[in-house]
Amino acid sequence: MSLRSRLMLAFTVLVVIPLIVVGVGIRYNVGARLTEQFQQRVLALASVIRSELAQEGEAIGSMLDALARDIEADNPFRRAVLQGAPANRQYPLDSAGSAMRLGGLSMLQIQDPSGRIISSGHFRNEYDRLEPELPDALRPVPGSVMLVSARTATAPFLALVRSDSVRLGDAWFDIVGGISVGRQFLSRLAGGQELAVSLVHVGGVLSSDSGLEDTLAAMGVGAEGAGGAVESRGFDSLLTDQIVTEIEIPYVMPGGGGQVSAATILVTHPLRPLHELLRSIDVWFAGAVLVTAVAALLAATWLSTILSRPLAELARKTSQVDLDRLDVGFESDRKDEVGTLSRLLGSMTERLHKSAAKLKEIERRATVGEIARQVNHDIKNGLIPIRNVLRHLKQVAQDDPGQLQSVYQERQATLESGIAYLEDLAANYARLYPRVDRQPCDVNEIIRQLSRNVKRSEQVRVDLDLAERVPAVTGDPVALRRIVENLMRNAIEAVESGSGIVTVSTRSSGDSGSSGVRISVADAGSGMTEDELEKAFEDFYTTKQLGTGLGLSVVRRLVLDLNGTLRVESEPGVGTKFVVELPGGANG
Amino acid sequence: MSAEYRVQGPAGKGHSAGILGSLLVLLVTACGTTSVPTVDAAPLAGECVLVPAPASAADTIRVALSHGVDFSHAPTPHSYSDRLLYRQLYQTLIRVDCMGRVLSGLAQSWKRKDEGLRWSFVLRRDARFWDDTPLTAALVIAGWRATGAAERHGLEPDSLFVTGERELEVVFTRPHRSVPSLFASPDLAVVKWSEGVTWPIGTGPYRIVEYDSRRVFAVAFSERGTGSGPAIEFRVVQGRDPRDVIDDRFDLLVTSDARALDYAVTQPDRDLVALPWDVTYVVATPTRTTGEGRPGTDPWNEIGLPLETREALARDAVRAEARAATPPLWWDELDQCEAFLDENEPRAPTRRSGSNTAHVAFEASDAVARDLAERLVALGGAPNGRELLLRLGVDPALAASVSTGGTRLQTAALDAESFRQALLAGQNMAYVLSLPRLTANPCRSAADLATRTGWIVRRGSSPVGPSQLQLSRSLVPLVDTRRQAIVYRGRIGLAIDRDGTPVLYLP
Repeated sequence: MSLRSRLMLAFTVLVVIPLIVVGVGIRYNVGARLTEQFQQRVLALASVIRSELAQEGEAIGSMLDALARDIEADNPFRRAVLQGAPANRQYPLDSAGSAMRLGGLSMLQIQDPSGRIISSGHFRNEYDRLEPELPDALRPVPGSVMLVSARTATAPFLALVRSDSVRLGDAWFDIVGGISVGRQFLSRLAGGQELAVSLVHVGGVLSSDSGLEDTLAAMGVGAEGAGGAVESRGFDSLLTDQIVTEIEIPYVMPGGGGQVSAATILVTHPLRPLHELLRSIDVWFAGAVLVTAVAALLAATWLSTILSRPLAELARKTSQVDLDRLDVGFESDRKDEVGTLSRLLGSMTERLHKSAAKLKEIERRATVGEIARQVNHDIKNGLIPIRNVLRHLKQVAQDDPGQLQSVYQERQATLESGIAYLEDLAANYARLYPRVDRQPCDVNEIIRQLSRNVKRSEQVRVDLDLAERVPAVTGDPVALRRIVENLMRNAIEAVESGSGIVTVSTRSSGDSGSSGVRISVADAGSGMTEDELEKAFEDFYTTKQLGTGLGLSVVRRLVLDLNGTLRVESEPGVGTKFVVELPGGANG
Repeated sequence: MSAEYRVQGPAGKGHSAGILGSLLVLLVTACGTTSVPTVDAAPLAGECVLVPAPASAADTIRVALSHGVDFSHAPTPHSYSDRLLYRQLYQTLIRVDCMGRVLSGLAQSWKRKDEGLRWSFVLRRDARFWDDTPLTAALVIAGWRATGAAERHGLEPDSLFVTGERELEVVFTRPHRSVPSLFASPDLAVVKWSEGVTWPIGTGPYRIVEYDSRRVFAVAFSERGTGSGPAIEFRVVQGRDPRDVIDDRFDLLVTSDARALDYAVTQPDRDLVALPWDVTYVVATPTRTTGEGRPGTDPWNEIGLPLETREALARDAVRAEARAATPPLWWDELDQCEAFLDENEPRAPTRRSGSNTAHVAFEASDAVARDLAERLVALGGAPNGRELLLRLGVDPALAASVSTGGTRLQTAALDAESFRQALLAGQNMAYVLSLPRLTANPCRSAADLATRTGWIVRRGSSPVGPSQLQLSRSLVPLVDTRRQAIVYRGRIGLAIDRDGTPVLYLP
């Protein structure tokens, strides 16, 4: 992983992780606090509703009490009810309606001792119906309010009722009255938009929140036979997205023969606002994380760029350094660690340069010594047959002078062979240190001439791939010719065992400020092993039977003399490619 | 063979003369084949004069109309206000008074021909339209055709003939012994239309001079133009408390509002005059027309409410002046009406299915219908209400479902248009309808009812007889109601016609 990547990753992690921790903490705390607040609100409203129901009950009770006194004093009513005068029939029928409207009630019915409705305010024409169950259900708990389903001509409605009684003659008449418990009533109890009050009873569900009402109805809450299911599971488990508190209220079931069951008032607070708030926090937090991450990434990129660019430059320069190229500059004005490192590298390169010069000198001396030993050895090898012939001639001259000519003729070939050997040896040594004559040379032209004249078998083909506009190389044309000739000959010899192709190519190299020529000589020969590659440029190292082992060594020196570089790429079984990089223009 | 009847003479000759005239008219009507001499007949019998005309007339008589009026369909009344207004403004060929006696209208005489298959009428010589156009037989027939009244009453084009400038002849498909009372129908009042006026021009004693949606102002009309009698201002008081109208010193207010009547009684200068029982409330049950009945029994038996139930409804349930619906009812006497009923192809009612609620529907503005519907729901929805529902003609399965609580019974108060559509489709369990108790043309009324319901007439499947009986059996009478006229004492006289509509009786 690069330094830049590491820096960016570290920066991002260091900034974003704390932010995430903070966000999660805030989210948790907000959720917990709001949930607690909602629960408190629900409990407070439940308390208020209990109080309101009690107050409504008292108000209804007061109204019924006043109505009872009115009825007691109402002679037309008394006459109609007790004496049954047909002419007065309509008076009591309308009485409950008038009293109901005056008293602000929604339901009022007066029933005789047998339970027969003699006047109904909410359903005027339902008179004479026998319904003793309702007063019977209400009578046992004086002062209590109950929920009943009141019939009307259109649709039944729920009413919160109480009962009272009035004595006319010897009979007690029941008065049942109350207020409508509809959506408006529940909305009034709910008191606002956030909390909802719902009423669940056998046969239906009603809510200040129509959406919640639909939800409960869809769950089957309030449907006949569903009460048990609700009781066993509880509304908490049904309404998982609500905070729920329940208030029970007695309910007289319609058509149930006065059977009293329990209706439930549900006070609920939706968790939706909390979820929305948390969702909002999540969105803002995600945005913050994103923005922070992007900012951190940008900062890390900027920082890593600042850090890595000089390091990359140092790396590039360092990659150029080798024993043949120690003139790479590491100068830096920076005062920081990178500047120090750069200066250290420059200093090191300088020391290497000096060491390399010394090493070259040592190498040169060693080479000279080696050559001297080799010359000594070679000369001795050449001189030994000559000396032997001369000793033989001296011996013949002393012992048999007459035979001297014939012996001389006999041994003349040996002498000439030895001399030729020594001449050849001298010529070869002369090649080790050629004279340098610097002038602009056209590399392409030299390569073309050589490709025409180089000795090769018919199976070998030399392909030229010469760039049209390559800069001239300043140097000795003979040395340049010898470099290319040696490399071409080596390549031809590498492929001569079979049919093969040698490709010589030239390219411009370097940028406009320091342009040069790259000469490549590639063959498809057997290639070299790593060991062979390491020794390829050593003097007198050869893998050929009649080689001197000086060809590539000479090439290397000549290239170095031209301030160029030489490298070789080889793979056994595939081939070898020599690449010479020579500076163009006025070098040297 | 033909007989001629002639009734002529000025109005308002006195009570005794009226009685004499009436007796004579009654005589000639009863003896239709006898030639009748010319008689001086009073236009009204004394029994039909509810309030005698005052000695002197006021300048302007103010009449309250409980609903807005619309002349676009005049002279055919669509509401009680229309009836009251049109009756004062437009005239028919003949009139039938409250006792059923035929009086002269625009026709001064009429003749029966071909055993009553053809009747010819001679128009009054002095009769003129308000624009002073002399009344001719051609204009009468043109007016009937223009308003569509001729067609509605079965008077096809080939049955109306102009036989003289002031004489027209009507051919019927079945004979009429006495002069057909349909010519007293307000629908067949004689009018003509003229450019530039938004009301039809009539021939009555008062002509319209101003009209807007809240007020109609009419002045007495004479051959010379504006007459010397009082003007009449008809003012729409819809939405006002009737007691305010009384306080506003209107000369005539017709109402059934109990509070207004109680209030009027306390006013020293007001008289309350009971008008005839002119409306009968009935229940029409679409299920009854399907022929469904209780298995094993005659579906038409035991239908209809017993008298004591109807009396209880009138006495206790209805908060207006009411009595048990009492025969005769015109829809029980439709033996001449096949042709009218043939106009209406019966349609099967479109019953709602899949609902657990059954409705007794009524028009929301009708308080009596509301009371009745609510009482029927209270009785029918009670545990023992099945018998009542069956007597109303409710489908036995539905009645059983209601009594067991499977179906909830409730009322449905519909606005006029919704009620009209619901009644036409027959989609509710039952309808409380108000029908005119008195009609000049029962066949026409039956046809109108059949048009309103579509499903109420059934032919060919009744076990008890022809179609008119089926129509009769489709209606369960409940109560009759009537209105009262609150009259400013000493300012107007009031008489009534056969259909119970009050007619101003002015000096």
